[in-house]
Amino acid sequence: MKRTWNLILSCLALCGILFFTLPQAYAYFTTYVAGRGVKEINLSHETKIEEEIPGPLQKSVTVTLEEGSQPVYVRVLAIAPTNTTLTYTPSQGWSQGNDGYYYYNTYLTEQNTSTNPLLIKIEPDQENTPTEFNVVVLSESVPVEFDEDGNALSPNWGKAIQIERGGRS
Amino acid sequence: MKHIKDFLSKPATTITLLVLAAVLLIQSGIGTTKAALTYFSPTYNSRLQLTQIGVSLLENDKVISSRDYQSEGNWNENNNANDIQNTGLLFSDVEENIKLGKRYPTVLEVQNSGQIPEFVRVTITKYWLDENDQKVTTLDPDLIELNYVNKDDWFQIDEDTAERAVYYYKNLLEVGKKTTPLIDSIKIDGKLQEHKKVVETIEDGKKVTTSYYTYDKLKFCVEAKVDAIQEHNAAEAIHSSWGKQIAVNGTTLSRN
Repeated sequence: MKRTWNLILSCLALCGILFFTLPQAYAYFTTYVAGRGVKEINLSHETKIEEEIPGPLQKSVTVTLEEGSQPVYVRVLAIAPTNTTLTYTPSQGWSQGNDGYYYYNTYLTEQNTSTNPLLIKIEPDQENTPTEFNVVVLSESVPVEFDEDGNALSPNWGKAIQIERGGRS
Repeated sequence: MKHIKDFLSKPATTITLLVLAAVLLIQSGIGTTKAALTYFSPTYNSRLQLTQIGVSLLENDKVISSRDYQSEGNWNENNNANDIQNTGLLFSDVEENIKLGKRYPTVLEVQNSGQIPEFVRVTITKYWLDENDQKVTTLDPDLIELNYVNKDDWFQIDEDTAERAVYYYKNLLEVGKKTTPLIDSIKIDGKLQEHKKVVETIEDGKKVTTSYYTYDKLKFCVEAKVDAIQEHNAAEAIHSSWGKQIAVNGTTLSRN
């Protein structure tokens, strides 16, 4: 019995020693605030070629930017059979490149969605005129790049990009 | 175990432990009594300090969020958040259709909106989110370029990770004063549009090729968290609350 009481008292004393040797806890005055910003990146762009036939063997081509697209530069090229001559009459804003393409000098945006018309006259070779032939109009676009001040940089039509090919279905 | 029980059961051991516990009890009581006497002494009352700490995060001179102690455990919290996450909203001045490559002014500062001088630090975290607001770990957060300025006033202890940077303001922030700006602009790198995916499908017996920008419709996210701490016993307070050992020389912090 005495031994048991000694054991109990020793344990209680040990607990007391541990308690009184614990370091005192201090509270400090602190506070905090936070801010968070999230913005979506829109990289997609889609253009559409609109053709009108103002007269025989003529095409009037306009390129239009679809809604929700990022700003783009555009260029146009018409492809015809070899014995056919194409004559371009560019309206304001179009200029001919050295590579046969016609380039629109201003980039298209959601506020400026359409180019001025580009008139193409088609003159097939009189001696070897086929009864039917196609003149295909090709339009290409590249996204506008900006400098740090928000000014548009000149378009880079030859820029290499990384392409990952996905699966087939 | 038997040995321990035998040892603790000895009368000599019991008496020794009891005496030691009693000594410790008296010692802690003396300290408490001294504090009580000091509290009620006229000298202690005259040195009573205000404890209303408060801090605000500013973007382009506008308060994004603030948290100031009032009294009795109540805080005055203010944030201009319109979203559900209860934090202030950054980049409200940035246009919705971000132009890649363009640098947008975003001046981040901290202001002492409390009643006592304080030291502050800012933790900046940046990352990409997909359309489901899940973090995208395959895209480099460094494509979110934040321009850090005033590097003479802000210092770091730990190296940045790709996502996170912590800056400590060197100077004590007096009541009502602002820090110098930590960040002054943000830019998203144009490299994002140099990666496309091309997918081929068969529709109505014809091959259809669709190409799209890999990172289209992703979102960038930047979080700024400000911590403020009391001036008094700053070194101990910082070590205890922030877990960092920082040298305090008067009103200036520096790396240890």
